[in-house]
Amino acid sequence: MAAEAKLRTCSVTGLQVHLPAQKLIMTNAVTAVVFLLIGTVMAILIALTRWPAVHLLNQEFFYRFVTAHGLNMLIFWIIFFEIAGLYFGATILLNARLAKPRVAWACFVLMLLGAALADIMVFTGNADVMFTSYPPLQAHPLYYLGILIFAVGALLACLLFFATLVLAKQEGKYDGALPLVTFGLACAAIIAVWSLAHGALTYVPALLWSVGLMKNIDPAMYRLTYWGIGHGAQQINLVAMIAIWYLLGTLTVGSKVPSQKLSRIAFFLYLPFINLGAIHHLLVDPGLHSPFRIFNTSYAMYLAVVGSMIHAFSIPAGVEIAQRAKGFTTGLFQWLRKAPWGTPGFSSLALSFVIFGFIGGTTGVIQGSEQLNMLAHNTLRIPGHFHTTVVAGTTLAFMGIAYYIIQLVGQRKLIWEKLAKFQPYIFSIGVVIMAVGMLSAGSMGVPRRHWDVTFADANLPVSLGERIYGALGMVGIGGIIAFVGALIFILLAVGSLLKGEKIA
Amino acid sequence: MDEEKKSGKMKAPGTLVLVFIFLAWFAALYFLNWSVLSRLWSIG
Amino acid sequence: MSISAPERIWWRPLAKEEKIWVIVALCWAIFMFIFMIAWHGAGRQNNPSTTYRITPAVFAQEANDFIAKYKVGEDKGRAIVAPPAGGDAYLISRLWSFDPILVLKKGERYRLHLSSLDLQHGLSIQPMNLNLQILPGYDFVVNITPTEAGEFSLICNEYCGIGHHKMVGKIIVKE
Repeated sequence: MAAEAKLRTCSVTGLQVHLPAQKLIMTNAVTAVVFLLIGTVMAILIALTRWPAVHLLNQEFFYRFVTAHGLNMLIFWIIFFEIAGLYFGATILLNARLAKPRVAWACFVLMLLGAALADIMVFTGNADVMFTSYPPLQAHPLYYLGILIFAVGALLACLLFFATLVLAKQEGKYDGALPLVTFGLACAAIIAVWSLAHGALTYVPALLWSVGLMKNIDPAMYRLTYWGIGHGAQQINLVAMIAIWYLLGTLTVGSKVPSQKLSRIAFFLYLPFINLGAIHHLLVDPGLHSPFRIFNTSYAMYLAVVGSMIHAFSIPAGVEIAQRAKGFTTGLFQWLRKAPWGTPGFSSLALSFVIFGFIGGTTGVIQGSEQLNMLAHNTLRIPGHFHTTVVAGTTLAFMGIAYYIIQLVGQRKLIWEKLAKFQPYIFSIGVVIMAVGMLSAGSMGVPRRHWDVTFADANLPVSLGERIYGALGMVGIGGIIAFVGALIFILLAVGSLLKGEKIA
Repeated sequence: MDEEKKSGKMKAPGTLVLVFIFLAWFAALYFLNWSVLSRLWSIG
Repeated sequence: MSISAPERIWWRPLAKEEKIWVIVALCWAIFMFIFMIAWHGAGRQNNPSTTYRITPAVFAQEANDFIAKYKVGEDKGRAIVAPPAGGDAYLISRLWSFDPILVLKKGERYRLHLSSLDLQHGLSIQPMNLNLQILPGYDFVVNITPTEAGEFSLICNEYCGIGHHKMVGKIIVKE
């Protein structure tokens, strides 16, 4: 059989690897890292501008680069990597083959074209509209078109993931339930379909409006559908990250799942509820009433939060059980002290888990409480929150798994393993300093997406107090450290794939 | 696999302590924010 | 293992630790949910809801009538307006200013009308740090009662083009 011939057996895990899938996983992951690099360069320039002592960019470039940073990080880096993750979960973890590699390549080309088009529009100054592009602010039609093309590619890739699961079942690759990691990824893919559908509801009208086929767009309606994708996309990240956490637990310390039932219920709770959180961005908007706000902002009585709190228990419990089985049974925390803190996979898991929970998750729920949002809306508290979820959380977890993908799927040893040991610490320390700076500055009223908080050009004097400069200094310094951490990762990933010793 | 089968007898006491530390932190931040809010102008 | 298929029967009863945590998490969730509802009764800071559709031209007309009627002075070309206690007040948001400068009385309630004449804007009252969204086409009516005297800055916190950082305004609260 032709399909049989295209398999290799992994020498480390014994899993069957479908070679066309392997190529697609690596291509998508490497492309993701290229966009991560673009986003990272933007990040340091922005951080150094928001640090008033440096105030690097002029206002035109500042706003342009904030737009580019959001787009390249939140959409291109993360979604390319997630598509790699979906293919990995549906093929390698199931010993299965990818349903239609050709379709997967078409998806890749669409996504790349769309991303390139949108980025060109942004960098040529045709879309200085921020990642949110709130009308009546208008971008060049090709910007909306680029995002739409990208979204179509991503949507098709999700459907291909589902088709691969069906095919694997038909071919008897699994029987009964999916492995938990694949189950989690499937939940992420379902949320992705929901989010991308909102992307169509948002960007199709925006495109028609930008070419003059629609007279105007209702700004409130746009915000509603926009946040369906804008926030929904972050929920894909959340769910994919949790699946990766379970995977990292197993790969690093041989974690078992304490309760398959509980973890699956927790993933399932995300499907109906998590996307109600899109309303977090509309809590102080005109036109909505409080019962609607409360129901949605709390994901219907915080049921998605219960799901997250279950994972917050199950993931460390899995590690603890595995470590105790190895004999680390003294006291309450010997299992934790004796964990492999020098393995980048494990330190990424632990740091991303703790930072996500303690800072990202709590600030998210708090700032998403209906009334409390009046304290936080559009201040730097919002980026403070999401840099601890999507950067210290999702991105760090993805970095941790990338170290394995390079070796298991890319079949290359890491160059500079010692540097890899330190990378998760450098990166996460930087992000935490930066995010705490943002959260404090925001709580003193510093707005997000703002070029000059000294208000030197304003025709009325405004002062947000002297203390904001300390907090914004943290943003700058933390940003530099995080930048170094991210660069080390990119260097390690690309360097290993090009120069790393080959693993047979 | 034994641990997975013996339901009702999981041993993860350390984790239970950690999650309660998390909850205490969460609740502290939560109420701190409400107390800040209560000092704003009256709005509705 | 998280990467292999679970055993055939995986829906077993939960362990004690898991039961404790799930129950605690559920209680906390329900508590936070009820807290938001309860604050509508017991708290004084709640998100405004009253909204009317309005065109920018009509809003500008109403606001300018309001300014003409209650104007008490000028500051560098900006009107200073003292609305009657308990009455309507208007705040125009546009590229790139909040107008007029409002003079309010401490402890009095005002119906503050917010709308934009062009792009989306964000009203951020500092140093108190109270933040609301302003959209063109919507007259957002905020019932507001200043509880302390002093000068308060208004800054725009929704990106509105190249002059965004210059978009400020002022509210003066008198005893």
